[in-house]
Amino acid sequence: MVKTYKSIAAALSLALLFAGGTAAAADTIKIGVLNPLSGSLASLGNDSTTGAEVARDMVNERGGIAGKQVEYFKADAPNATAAVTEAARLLDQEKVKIIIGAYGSSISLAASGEAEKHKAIFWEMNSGSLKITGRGHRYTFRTTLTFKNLAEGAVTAITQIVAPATKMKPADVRVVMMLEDSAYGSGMRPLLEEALEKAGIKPLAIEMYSAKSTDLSPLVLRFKALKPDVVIASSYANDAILFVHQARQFDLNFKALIGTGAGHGRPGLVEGLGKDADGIFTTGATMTINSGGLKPEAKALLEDFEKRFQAKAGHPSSTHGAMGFMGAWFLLTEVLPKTGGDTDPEKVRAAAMDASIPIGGGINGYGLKFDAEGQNERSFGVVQQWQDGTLAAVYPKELATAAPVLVPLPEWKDRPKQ
Amino acid sequence: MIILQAVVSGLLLGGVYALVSVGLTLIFGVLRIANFAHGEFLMAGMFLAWVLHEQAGIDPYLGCFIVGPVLFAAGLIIERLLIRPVIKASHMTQIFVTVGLAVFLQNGALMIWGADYHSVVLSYADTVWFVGPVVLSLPRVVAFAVAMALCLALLAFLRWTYWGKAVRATAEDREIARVMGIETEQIYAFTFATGAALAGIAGALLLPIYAVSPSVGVQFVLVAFIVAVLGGLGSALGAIIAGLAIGVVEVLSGFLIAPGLQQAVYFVVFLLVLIIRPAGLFGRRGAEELVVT
Repeated sequence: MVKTYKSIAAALSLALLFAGGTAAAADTIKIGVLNPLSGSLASLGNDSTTGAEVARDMVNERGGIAGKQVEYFKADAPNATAAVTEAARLLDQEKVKIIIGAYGSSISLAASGEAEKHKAIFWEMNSGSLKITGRGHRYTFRTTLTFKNLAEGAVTAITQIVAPATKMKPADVRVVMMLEDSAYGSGMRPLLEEALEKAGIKPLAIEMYSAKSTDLSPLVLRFKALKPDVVIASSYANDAILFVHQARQFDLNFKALIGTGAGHGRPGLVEGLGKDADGIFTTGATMTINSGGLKPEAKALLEDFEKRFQAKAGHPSSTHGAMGFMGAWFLLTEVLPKTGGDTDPEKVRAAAMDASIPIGGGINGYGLKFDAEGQNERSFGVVQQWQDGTLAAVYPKELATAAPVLVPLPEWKDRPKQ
Repeated sequence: MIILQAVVSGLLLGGVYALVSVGLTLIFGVLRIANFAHGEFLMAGMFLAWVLHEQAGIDPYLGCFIVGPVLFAAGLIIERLLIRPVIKASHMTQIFVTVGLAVFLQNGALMIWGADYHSVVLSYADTVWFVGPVVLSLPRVVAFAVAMALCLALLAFLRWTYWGKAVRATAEDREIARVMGIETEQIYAFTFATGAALAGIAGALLLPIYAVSPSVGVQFVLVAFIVAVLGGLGSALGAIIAGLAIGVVEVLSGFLIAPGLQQAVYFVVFLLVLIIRPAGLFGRRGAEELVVT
C-alpha cells in the first residue's frame, strides 16, 4: 500500500514538474539570435548581438510584452554552413519561431533560407545583400538598408561632394572600383554600375580581389596606371587598411576614396591607418547623424541605448550594434505587442506588414514600413567621412554633423608621415 | 617594369610564406604529424608582438627576440602534453588533436582580445626605397630578410650540427635513429618547438604589414600547407623554394590576370606540379607514410 502511495506521489510530482516546465516556457517569448560570434566576421556579429540584447533588457525591464519576458537563444554562425545547421537547431530543438540576425550576407542568405523552409520568421537587422529580401520569401523581413542604398550613397558622394569640390563634371570624374570577391563585394558590383550609369559615369576599371590577400600591390599598380580621381571600395577590415598603406607606398594618388560601409566604417580603420584614415568617405547606416533630426523619443532612446551598450560591451556601439538594437527594438515594441506576444509566424507577419513608423522614429533616423518583399522602405544610406579619427555624417545636409573636408585629398608626398 | 615590380613584391611575400611553411614541413618530416594549429602559432606570435608593442612600447622587430623564445617554450609544453601521447596513434587521432588545438587557441584569443582587428601604427610602416623602377617597402624587406636569414640558418643547422643531423636521422627512420642512440623524443620536442617559434617570429614580422585578429592564422595555414606539399613534405629546402615561388605566382598572376584570381592561380600551379611530381618538388615518394615496426 505504501508502495502505491509512493508511486502515485512520484507520478504526481513528475506531472507537476512537467506542468511547471511548460508553464515556464509559455511565460517567455522565445527568439533565436543568430550571428557570427567567432571567425572573421565576429566583431560586427558580436556588436549586433549585444545591440539586440540591450533591446531585450529594456523591454524586459518595462515588464516584457503582454506580461511575458523575452528570452533569447543565441547561436554562433561564423559561415554559411554553420548558419544552416544553427538555424535548424534553433527552429527544431529550441522551438523558436523567430530568428533575428545575421550579419554577413552569405550567412544571412543561408539562415533565412532555412527559416523560410520551416515557415518561421527571419528578421534581418544588419545584412545588406539585395537577394535576402528579393527571393519571394514570405517570412523574411529586413529592417536595415540594402546594398542598393550603399551604392547610391557612394555615387552621391561623387556627384554631390567630390565633383563640386574639384569643379569637375561628374561624367569627367575618373572612377575605379575595387570589390572584394565574396557575396558582399560581388553583390555591390551591379548596383554600383547601375548607380554610376545613372550619374553618367563610366568606371575605368572594376577589380575583384580576395579580402584575404596579404599583398594588394597588383591592384594598386593596376590603378596607378589609370590615374584615377576616385576609388570606390567594397572591402572588409584588413584589406581596407592594407590598400591605403600600399597606395601610400606605391604613391597611388586619388582625390577621394569612397567605401561602401563594412571595413571603411569601422574604428579598426583608424587604428590601422592613423591620420591616413582622415578624408576617407563611407556610406551606410550610421548613428553619427545630427540627432536634432530625430523625433524626441528616438533621441532619448538613442542616449539610453548608447549608455547601456557601453556598459555591456565595454566599448561604444558601432553602427552594427545600433542596427542590431533598432531591428530588435522594432520587433519587440512595434510588432510583437500587436500579436500579444504570440510568435506564430502568420500573426507576426500580419503585424509586421501593418507596422508604420515615420522617418526619424528609429534611433538613427530610419522609420519602418515593409514593402511587399519584406524590405524596410524607410531606410537609407548616409554619406560619412573620417575626420580626426571619427566618422562624421556629411550628406544629406539635414542629418549632417560636419561639412566634408580634404576634398581633393592631398598627394601622398604632401601628407605628413605618421 | 611593372612585371619586375610584381616579381620583387612576390619574392618579398614568398619569404614570409617560406618561414611559416618551413616549420610546418619540418614538424611533418620528423614527427609525421600534420600540424593544423600552425597558423594559430603565427596568430599567437602576432598577438604577442602586438601586446608587447601596445603595453611596453616594444617594436615588433625587437619583439621577435621575446616572441621566438616564448613560442619555443609553448611548443615544448604543447608537444609534451598533446603531441607525444598521440605520436604513434592513427592519422585521424592526430588530426583531431591538432585541429582541436587550433580551435582552442583561436577561441582563446577571441576571449582575451575580442574579434576586432588590431594593428600597430609605426613610423616606418610606409617607408619605401626606390631601387631603379622598383618600389621596396621597408617592413616587407625586413620580413623577407629576417625570414630568409632564419631559413638559411635552419638549413645550415640541419646540415652541419649534431642536433641537426639527429633531426634528419629521425626524419629518415625513427627506429634506426633510436637504435643509433638518438633520443628521438627529445628530437620530437625540439623540432615541434622550433616550428612553433618560427611561426611565431613570422607573426611578429607580419605585424607591421598586416592587422591581427584571432582568425588571421587560418588564411596563412592554407598557404603554408600548399607550400609544404609543393616543396615536398619534410623538405626544408623545398618549402623555402616553394614559398618564394608561390609568392611570385600570387602577385604576378594578380597583376597579369586579375587580382581576384591570385589565389586561384597558385592552386592551379599546385595541382599541375602534383600531377607531374606527386611527391612535390623536393620530396620523396611515400614520405607521408610511416612504417611502424
